[in-house]
Amino acid sequence: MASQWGVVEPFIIYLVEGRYFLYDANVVSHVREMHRMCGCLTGTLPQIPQQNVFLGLPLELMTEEAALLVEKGAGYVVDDVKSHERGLKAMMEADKQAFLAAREAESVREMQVLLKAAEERKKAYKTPKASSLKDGDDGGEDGEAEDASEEMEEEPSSATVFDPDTKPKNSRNSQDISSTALRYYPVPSTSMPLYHKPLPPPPLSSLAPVPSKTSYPLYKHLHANSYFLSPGLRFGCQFMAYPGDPLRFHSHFVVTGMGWDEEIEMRDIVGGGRLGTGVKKAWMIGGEDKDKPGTVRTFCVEWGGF
Amino acid sequence: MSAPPPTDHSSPHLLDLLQTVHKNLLHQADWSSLEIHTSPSYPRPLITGLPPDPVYIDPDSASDYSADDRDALERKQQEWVLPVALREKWTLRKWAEVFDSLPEGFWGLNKEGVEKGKRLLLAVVSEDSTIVHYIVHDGIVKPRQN
Repeated sequence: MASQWGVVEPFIIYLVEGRYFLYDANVVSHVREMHRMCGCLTGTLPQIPQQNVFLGLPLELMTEEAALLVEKGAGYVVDDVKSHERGLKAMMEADKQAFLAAREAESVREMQVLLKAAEERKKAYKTPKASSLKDGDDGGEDGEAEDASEEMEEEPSSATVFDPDTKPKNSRNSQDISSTALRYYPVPSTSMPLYHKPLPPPPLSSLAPVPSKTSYPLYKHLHANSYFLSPGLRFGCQFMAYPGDPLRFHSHFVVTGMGWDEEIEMRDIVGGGRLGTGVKKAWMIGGEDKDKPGTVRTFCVEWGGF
Repeated sequence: MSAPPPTDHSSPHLLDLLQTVHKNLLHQADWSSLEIHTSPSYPRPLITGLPPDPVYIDPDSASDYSADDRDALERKQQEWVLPVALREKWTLRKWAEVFDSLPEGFWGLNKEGVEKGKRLLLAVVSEDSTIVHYIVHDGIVKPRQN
């Protein structure tokens, strides 16, 4: 059944170099709303990679998030590079030509729309001017002072007066302009089905990087208790646990997963308690109870105040 | 897995910790009704006592609590203290064992009438006898200030 974003489960989780990504904004919304997972936006502008404060698609999922989605049957993992290569190889020549033609047609259509819009802008710009500044339009000096687009428009008429060879740049007629005008090719953020053929969902989807045994039970436990979890690198822990959507709440816990018999130094507990209290959160450690598989114990530490 | 061997409550190390924390609570932190628990039913020696001021106020009932109210329930709440040394290493299993040995329902009921989760004060003793106390809750307990 499709959700309100038109997402049908199981959706594809793309695997690239051992990391899990979602490319489609609809899937990202769906996962956030229906599965309480926010992931991490990682996309930046290709020309300005240093602009990394506000990132966009694709969304990188934590290994734990991908694992839980696969476990729930909500998504399945597809190796992005392999499926792309497979799709390219399997593509028929006729399909390829048809696709290129369609792409070209779309580009031309878009360009014509752009040119038409530009014409209309010019008209709208000229019309009031003609009425208010009739004299200015006739004067040669005023024409030179005006911007380049206006000059281009006027040239075809003046080219008959002046020698066309002296001004080759401006002698283009409107058709020439359209052939050299800026063309855009549509670049969708999701992969095109033609040259990208992911396999249908396998009965048992496998994960390439599997989540850590110490953190995954704790992740599932908190997730089942309606917490939103995000990566905790900022606070030197594994997860940050929010009681609701991170856009609406401050996080309550900085969380570290541990093995049942994994030793932790008292100094680290003191450090964790200080860290948590310092940022108005509680520091939480927890893990799966080895003696009672499936149950998770958690402990929250705060400074005692004296 | 078999249960770990019971800790010898009479080891000089543990007795020394116990004495240090007990003296600190009594003379420096002004706790009263201090009691030392060394029964083998506890994995480690523990202390209970009544702090002069409540050490923990449930964030959900914090608005109802007034520091001037001498008869507030929070003022009568005894706390469990677990003395540990800074150089010790602990595991989730050991903490779970300590919490499992604490009595149920010791901390009263919350606003919904459900028993509050267990908590204890971790008294960490460093080599120069400095003691720092941390509140440890069993389960998912939201922080006081958020």
